[in-house]
Amino acid sequence: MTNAFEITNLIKKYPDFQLGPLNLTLEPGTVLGYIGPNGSGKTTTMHCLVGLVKADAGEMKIFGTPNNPNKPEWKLDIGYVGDVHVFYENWTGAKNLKFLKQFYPNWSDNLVADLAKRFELPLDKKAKALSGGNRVKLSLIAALAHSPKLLLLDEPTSGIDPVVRTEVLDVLFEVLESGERAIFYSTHILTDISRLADELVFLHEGQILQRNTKDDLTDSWRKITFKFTKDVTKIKSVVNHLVEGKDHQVISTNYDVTLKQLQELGAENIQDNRMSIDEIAVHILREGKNGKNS
Amino acid sequence: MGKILKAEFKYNMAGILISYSIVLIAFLVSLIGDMDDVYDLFSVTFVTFFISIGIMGGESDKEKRDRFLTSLPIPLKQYSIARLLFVIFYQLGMFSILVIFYLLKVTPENVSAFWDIMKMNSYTLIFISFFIIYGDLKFYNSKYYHYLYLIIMLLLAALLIMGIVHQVIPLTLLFRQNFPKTFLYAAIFKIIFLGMYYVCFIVYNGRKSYLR
Repeated sequence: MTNAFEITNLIKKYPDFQLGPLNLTLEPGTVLGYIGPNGSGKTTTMHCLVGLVKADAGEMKIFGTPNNPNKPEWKLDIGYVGDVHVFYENWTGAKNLKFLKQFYPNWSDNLVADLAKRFELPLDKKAKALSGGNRVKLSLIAALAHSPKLLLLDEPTSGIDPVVRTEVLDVLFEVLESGERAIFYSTHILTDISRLADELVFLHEGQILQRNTKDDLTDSWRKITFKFTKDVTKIKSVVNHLVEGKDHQVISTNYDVTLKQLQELGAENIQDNRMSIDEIAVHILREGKNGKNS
Repeated sequence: MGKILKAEFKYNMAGILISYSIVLIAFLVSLIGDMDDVYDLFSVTFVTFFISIGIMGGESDKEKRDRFLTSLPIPLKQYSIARLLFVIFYQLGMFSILVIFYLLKVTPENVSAFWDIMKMNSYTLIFISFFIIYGDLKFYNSKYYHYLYLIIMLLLAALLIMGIVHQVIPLTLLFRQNFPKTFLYAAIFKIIFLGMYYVCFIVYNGRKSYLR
């Protein structure tokens, strides 16, 4: 099966930052969360994928077609909502959408009308008069109206207030869950994506730290508490270890391995708690940072 | 490409109409005089074009129009031609007012003024091309950018001085009556104009980013 996108050895250099070499693929119908702190290279990856930034090296394919800027058929398969929402500012939302319609054979006016209604977006207002939240909504409508097979969302909710963010996400998730499309969603707000993602990629300083399915992460990462009287030197697969007298709390990246070792060591009163994706992500990214600094 | 051009003209219609109105007023005023008034008309046209295209370009940068339009499923080369054609067609509209003036004022003695008008048309477009190139070179992430900038500014200054010199030195004014020579100048300027717009095309396509 052809991948929704395929990034091979992508490198983009800036004076104080380098993205990659990066290798990443996305299968059709999969929702991939792209997680990383600000400045980790998420937006640069998106920009390279959609052709807004030229990579220094590497190859990118969208449904098997190289993202050649002069053979742009691949752009018909993607819907992109970037970190900045650009329009003809003195035109209304409706006029901007009418302009975009000319370039997409699959454009659906019904879908536009439906989405605008659900988002409660005033399409008769000039783009420059729209609030931040409404600009995001207009961008989303523009990205979804031609029913793309791949949706690239680059922190679409950043900079908008929590109420509008929830409103946008509710409608967006409802729309996305009903379709069989691949989604590449970059964010540093985990709650945005944890509901929707099948897999998560963690990026730190231009490098991928790890890629896991959401279920694998929540299954293997556990917060474990136990009582132990002896000194514990090294517990396997643990990223954090707090000790208070006999009471220990560890964060395990591999629950089965850690549990087995604790049982062998004779730890008592072992209890485990599942962790949220947010908590796991914080630890993964913190480890990435520590790894870099050490 | 046509869709982009159409959209750009529609979007900038207010600015275009205002600038054309200014040139049209100058045209009507010039009609009272003789063929030599075409140079005053050219000055008004040049300044109006320069200011209006500057305002439109500034707006386009502010709205990140390149980013918006580069994201569309059209070949980058087509878009880079469309943005140049917008400038050329817009200027052509103003230039046509100079041609109408010429047609109304032409006599057997001043037939060769047509080549001067042709040259002015190229001169204006060449002048603007330096700004277009300068704007696009910013996205080359090159350490030589500052040197390129200096060279472009020197060329721009040279072009400006050349234009002024041409307008003020009586000897060059005499050439207006010399058909082969003014035709030659017009042809040279036309070739330079085509060359400069080819450079604009190459420079835009070589940009490292289209984020603005």
